[in-house]
Amino acid sequence: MVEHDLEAFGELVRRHQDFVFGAALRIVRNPVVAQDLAQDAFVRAYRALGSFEGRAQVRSWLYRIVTNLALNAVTRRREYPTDSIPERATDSGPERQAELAELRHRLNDVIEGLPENLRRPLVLREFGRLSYQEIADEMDLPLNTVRTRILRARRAMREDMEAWR
Amino acid sequence: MRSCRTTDERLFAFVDGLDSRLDDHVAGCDECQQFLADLWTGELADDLSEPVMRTIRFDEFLASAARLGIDIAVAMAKALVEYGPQADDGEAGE
Repeated sequence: MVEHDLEAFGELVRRHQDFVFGAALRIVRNPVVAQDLAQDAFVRAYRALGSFEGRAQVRSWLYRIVTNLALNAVTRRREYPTDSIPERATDSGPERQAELAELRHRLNDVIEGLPENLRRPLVLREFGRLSYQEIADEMDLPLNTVRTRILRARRAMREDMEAWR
Repeated sequence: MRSCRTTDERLFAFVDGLDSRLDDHVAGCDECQQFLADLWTGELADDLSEPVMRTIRFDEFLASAARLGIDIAVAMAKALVEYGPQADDGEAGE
Protein backbone atom coordinates (compact mmCIF):
# COMPACT_ATOMS: atom_id res chain seq x y z
CA MET A 1 0.00 0.00 0.00
CA VAL A 2 1.38 3.37 -0.96
CA GLU A 3 0.91 5.94 1.78
CA HIS A 4 0.12 8.82 -0.56
CA ASP A 5 -2.67 6.72 -2.11
CA LEU A 6 -4.15 6.31 1.34
CA GLU A 7 -3.90 10.06 1.96
CA ALA A 8 -5.72 10.63 -1.32
CA PHE A 9 -8.39 8.20 -0.18
CA GLY A 10 -8.64 10.14 3.06
CA GLU A 11 -9.41 13.23 1.01
CA LEU A 12 -12.13 11.27 -0.79
CA VAL A 13 -13.58 10.29 2.58
CA ARG A 14 -13.69 13.91 3.71
CA ARG A 15 -15.34 14.96 0.45
CA HIS A 16 -18.14 12.39 0.58
CA GLN A 17 -18.57 11.48 4.25
CA ASP A 18 -21.61 13.69 4.91
CA PHE A 19 -23.38 12.26 1.88
CA VAL A 20 -22.55 8.65 2.82
CA PHE A 21 -23.60 9.29 6.42
CA GLY A 22 -26.87 10.86 5.29
CA ALA A 23 -27.60 7.93 3.00
CA ALA A 24 -27.08 5.50 5.88
CA LEU A 25 -29.04 7.60 8.37
CA ARG A 26 -32.00 7.76 5.98
CA ILE A 27 -32.33 3.98 6.31
CA VAL A 28 -31.23 3.10 9.83
CA ARG A 29 -32.55 6.25 11.60
CA ASN A 30 -29.83 6.05 14.24
CA PRO A 31 -26.88 8.45 13.94
CA VAL A 32 -24.46 6.21 15.86
CA VAL A 33 -25.26 3.21 13.68
CA ALA A 34 -25.19 5.40 10.57
CA GLN A 35 -21.73 6.69 11.43
CA ASP A 36 -20.43 3.15 11.92
CA LEU A 37 -21.95 2.10 8.63
CA ALA A 38 -20.46 5.08 6.83
CA GLN A 39 -17.04 4.22 8.18
CA ASP A 40 -17.47 0.59 7.18
CA ALA A 41 -18.61 1.62 3.71
CA PHE A 42 -15.42 3.62 3.11
CA VAL A 43 -13.21 0.78 4.32
CA ARG A 44 -15.00 -1.64 2.00
CA ALA A 45 -14.74 0.84 -0.84
CA TYR A 46 -10.97 1.06 -0.33
CA ARG A 47 -10.67 -2.73 -0.41
CA ALA A 48 -12.77 -2.84 -3.59
CA LEU A 49 -10.94 -0.03 -5.38
CA GLY A 50 -9.46 -2.53 -7.75
CA SER A 51 -12.93 -3.51 -8.95
CA PHE A 52 -14.11 0.09 -9.38
CA GLU A 53 -13.65 0.59 -13.06
CA GLY A 54 -14.63 4.25 -13.08
CA ARG A 55 -17.68 3.77 -15.26
CA ALA A 56 -19.90 5.21 -12.55
CA GLN A 57 -19.34 8.28 -10.41
CA VAL A 58 -17.53 7.62 -7.15
CA ARG A 59 -20.42 9.08 -5.20
CA SER A 60 -22.93 6.70 -6.87
CA TRP A 61 -20.63 3.79 -6.11
CA LEU A 62 -20.31 4.81 -2.45
CA TYR A 63 -24.08 5.30 -2.28
CA ARG A 64 -24.70 1.72 -3.39
CA ILE A 65 -22.15 0.33 -0.93
CA VAL A 66 -23.55 2.16 2.09
CA THR A 67 -27.17 1.52 1.09
CA ASN A 68 -26.55 -2.22 0.92
CA LEU A 69 -24.82 -2.14 4.30
CA ALA A 70 -27.65 -0.13 5.85
CA LEU A 71 -30.36 -2.38 4.45
CA ASN A 72 -28.52 -5.43 5.78
CA ALA A 73 -28.24 -3.74 9.17
CA VAL A 74 -31.96 -3.01 9.22
CA THR A 75 -32.78 -6.59 8.27
CA ARG A 76 -30.55 -7.82 11.07
CA ARG A 77 -31.66 -5.38 13.74
CA ARG A 78 -35.28 -4.74 12.68
CA GLU A 79 -34.99 -1.05 13.48
CA TYR A 80 -36.93 0.30 10.56
CA PRO A 81 -38.91 3.30 11.82
CA THR A 82 -42.61 3.83 11.68
CA ASP A 83 -43.26 7.40 10.69
CA SER A 84 -46.99 7.29 10.62
CA ILE A 85 -49.04 8.06 13.66
CA PRO A 86 -50.89 4.83 14.44
CA GLU A 87 -54.60 4.65 13.83
CA ARG A 88 -56.32 4.09 17.13
CA ALA A 89 -59.80 4.07 15.70
CA THR A 90 -61.03 3.54 12.18
CA ASP A 91 -64.39 5.26 12.39
CA SER A 92 -65.11 8.98 12.36
CA GLY A 93 -67.21 8.97 15.52
CA PRO A 94 -66.78 11.12 18.63
CA GLU A 95 -63.83 9.13 19.90
CA ARG A 96 -61.97 9.63 16.65
CA GLN A 97 -62.82 13.32 16.57
CA ALA A 98 -61.50 13.70 20.09
CA GLU A 99 -58.28 11.97 19.10
CA LEU A 100 -57.88 14.25 16.10
CA ALA A 101 -58.47 17.32 18.26
CA GLU A 102 -55.87 16.09 20.72
CA LEU A 103 -53.47 15.48 17.84
CA ARG A 104 -54.00 18.96 16.43
CA HIS A 105 -53.42 20.45 19.86
CA ARG A 106 -50.24 18.46 20.29
CA LEU A 107 -48.98 19.41 16.83
CA ASN A 108 -49.59 23.04 17.62
CA ASP A 109 -47.59 22.74 20.84
CA VAL A 110 -44.76 20.99 19.01
CA ILE A 111 -44.61 23.65 16.32
CA GLU A 112 -44.68 26.42 18.91
CA GLY A 113 -41.84 24.67 20.71
CA LEU A 114 -39.53 24.80 17.73
CA PRO A 115 -36.75 27.37 17.69
CA GLU A 116 -37.73 30.46 15.74
CA ASN A 117 -35.16 29.84 13.00
CA LEU A 118 -36.79 26.46 12.30
CA ARG A 119 -40.43 27.32 13.01
CA ARG A 120 -40.69 30.27 10.67
CA PRO A 121 -39.56 28.54 7.44
CA LEU A 122 -41.65 25.49 8.35
CA VAL A 123 -44.78 27.58 8.87
CA LEU A 124 -44.19 29.52 5.66
CA ARG A 125 -43.83 26.27 3.78
CA GLU A 126 -46.55 24.12 5.36
CA PHE A 127 -49.20 26.79 6.00
CA GLY A 128 -48.20 29.66 3.77
CA ARG A 129 -47.49 27.26 0.86
CA LEU A 130 -44.55 29.37 -0.20
CA SER A 131 -41.91 27.83 -2.41
CA TYR A 132 -38.43 27.28 -1.01
CA GLN A 133 -37.15 30.15 -3.13
CA GLU A 134 -39.91 32.45 -1.89
CA ILE A 135 -39.06 31.56 1.68
CA ALA A 136 -35.37 32.16 0.98
CA ASP A 137 -36.23 35.59 -0.44
CA GLU A 138 -38.58 36.40 2.44
CA MET A 139 -36.06 35.44 5.10
CA ASP A 140 -33.01 36.60 3.17
CA LEU A 141 -31.35 33.18 3.45
CA PRO A 142 -29.60 30.89 0.97
CA LEU A 143 -31.93 28.35 -0.60
CA ASN A 144 -30.14 25.33 0.83
CA THR A 145 -30.25 26.85 4.31
CA VAL A 146 -34.02 27.03 3.99
CA ARG A 147 -34.18 23.42 2.84
CA THR A 148 -31.99 22.24 5.70
CA ARG A 149 -33.95 24.15 8.33
CA ILE A 150 -37.27 22.78 7.12
CA LEU A 151 -35.84 19.27 7.15
CA ARG A 152 -34.57 19.76 10.70
CA ALA A 153 -37.90 21.21 11.80
CA ARG A 154 -39.74 18.17 10.41
CA ARG A 155 -37.33 15.82 12.13
CA ALA A 156 -37.72 17.62 15.45
CA MET A 157 -41.49 17.49 15.10
CA ARG A 158 -41.39 13.79 14.31
CA GLU A 159 -39.23 13.05 17.35
CA ASP A 160 -41.54 15.08 19.58
CA MET A 161 -44.63 13.38 18.20
CA GLU A 162 -43.10 9.91 18.60
CA ALA A 163 -42.23 10.71 22.21
CA TRP A 164 -45.82 11.86 22.74
CA ARG A 165 -47.22 8.61 21.31
CA MET B 1 -36.23 21.87 -12.04
CA ARG B 2 -33.86 18.97 -12.40
CA SER B 3 -33.53 17.32 -15.78
CA CYS B 4 -34.91 14.11 -14.22
CA ARG B 5 -37.96 16.16 -13.04
CA THR B 6 -37.72 14.84 -9.49
CA THR B 7 -39.13 17.51 -7.20
CA ASP B 8 -37.65 18.76 -3.95
CA GLU B 9 -40.74 17.48 -2.15
CA ARG B 10 -40.21 13.95 -3.40
CA LEU B 11 -36.60 14.08 -2.32
CA PHE B 12 -37.58 15.36 1.12
CA ALA B 13 -40.06 12.49 1.39
CA PHE B 14 -37.29 10.13 0.28
CA VAL B 15 -34.96 11.51 2.96
CA ASP B 16 -37.66 11.17 5.58
CA GLY B 17 -38.18 7.53 4.65
CA LEU B 18 -41.66 8.15 3.31
CA ASP B 19 -40.90 7.32 -0.30
CA SER B 20 -38.39 4.57 -1.01
CA ARG B 21 -39.25 4.32 -4.71
CA LEU B 22 -36.53 6.82 -5.55
CA ASP B 23 -33.75 4.60 -4.28
CA ASP B 24 -32.66 3.20 -7.64
CA HIS B 25 -33.08 6.58 -9.30
CA VAL B 26 -30.98 8.40 -6.69
CA ALA B 27 -28.26 5.78 -7.01
CA GLY B 28 -27.77 6.82 -10.62
CA CYS B 29 -28.77 10.50 -10.71
CA ASP B 30 -26.02 13.03 -10.17
CA GLU B 31 -28.41 15.98 -9.78
CA CYS B 32 -30.47 14.28 -7.08
CA GLN B 33 -27.31 13.15 -5.33
CA GLN B 34 -26.01 16.72 -5.37
CA PHE B 35 -29.26 17.93 -3.80
CA LEU B 36 -28.92 15.32 -1.07
CA ALA B 37 -25.23 16.07 -0.63
CA ASP B 38 -26.08 19.75 -0.10
CA LEU B 39 -28.87 18.82 2.29
CA TRP B 40 -26.69 16.49 4.34
CA THR B 41 -23.68 18.80 4.48
CA GLY B 42 -22.74 19.31 8.12
CA GLU B 43 -24.93 16.49 9.41
CA LEU B 44 -21.99 14.29 10.32
CA ALA B 45 -20.56 15.29 13.69
CA ASP B 46 -17.13 13.68 13.29
CA ASP B 47 -14.48 13.48 10.59
CA LEU B 48 -14.31 9.83 9.52
CA SER B 49 -11.11 10.07 7.47
CA GLU B 50 -8.71 9.29 10.34
CA PRO B 51 -10.62 6.29 11.74
CA VAL B 52 -11.09 4.96 8.19
CA MET B 53 -7.40 5.26 7.39
CA ARG B 54 -6.48 3.78 10.77
CA THR B 55 -8.67 0.74 10.05
CA ILE B 56 -7.16 0.33 6.59
CA ARG B 57 -3.61 0.59 7.94
CA PHE B 58 -4.41 -1.95 10.67
CA ASP B 59 -5.91 -4.34 8.13
CA GLU B 60 -2.76 -3.98 6.02
CA PHE B 61 -0.63 -4.66 9.08
CA LEU B 62 -2.59 -7.83 9.85
CA ALA B 63 -2.26 -8.97 6.25
CA SER B 64 1.49 -8.31 6.33
CA ALA B 65 1.85 -10.16 9.63
CA ALA B 66 -0.07 -13.09 8.17
CA ARG B 67 2.22 -13.12 5.12
CA LEU B 68 5.24 -12.90 7.39
CA GLY B 69 3.90 -15.77 9.44
CA ILE B 70 3.54 -17.92 6.33
CA ASP B 71 7.04 -16.97 5.16
CA ILE B 72 8.50 -17.92 8.52
CA ALA B 73 6.64 -21.23 8.52
CA VAL B 74 7.97 -22.02 5.02
CA ALA B 75 11.54 -21.09 6.07
CA MET B 76 11.29 -23.26 9.18
CA ALA B 77 9.99 -26.20 7.15
CA LYS B 78 12.88 -25.87 4.69
CA ALA B 79 15.40 -25.65 7.53
CA LEU B 80 13.92 -28.75 9.09
CA VAL B 81 14.28 -30.65 5.83
CA GLU B 82 17.89 -29.55 5.31
CA TYR B 83 19.20 -29.57 8.83
CA GLY B 84 16.78 -31.68 10.87
CA PRO B 85 17.09 -35.28 12.04
CA GLN B 86 15.64 -36.64 8.76
CA ALA B 87 18.38 -34.79 6.84
CA ASP B 88 21.10 -36.57 8.94
CA ASP B 89 19.47 -39.93 8.20
CA GLY B 90 19.44 -39.14 4.49
CA GLU B 91 23.14 -38.19 4.38
CA ALA B 92 24.09 -41.28 6.33
CA GLY B 93 22.49 -43.41 3.68
CA GLU B 94 24.65 -42.00 0.86
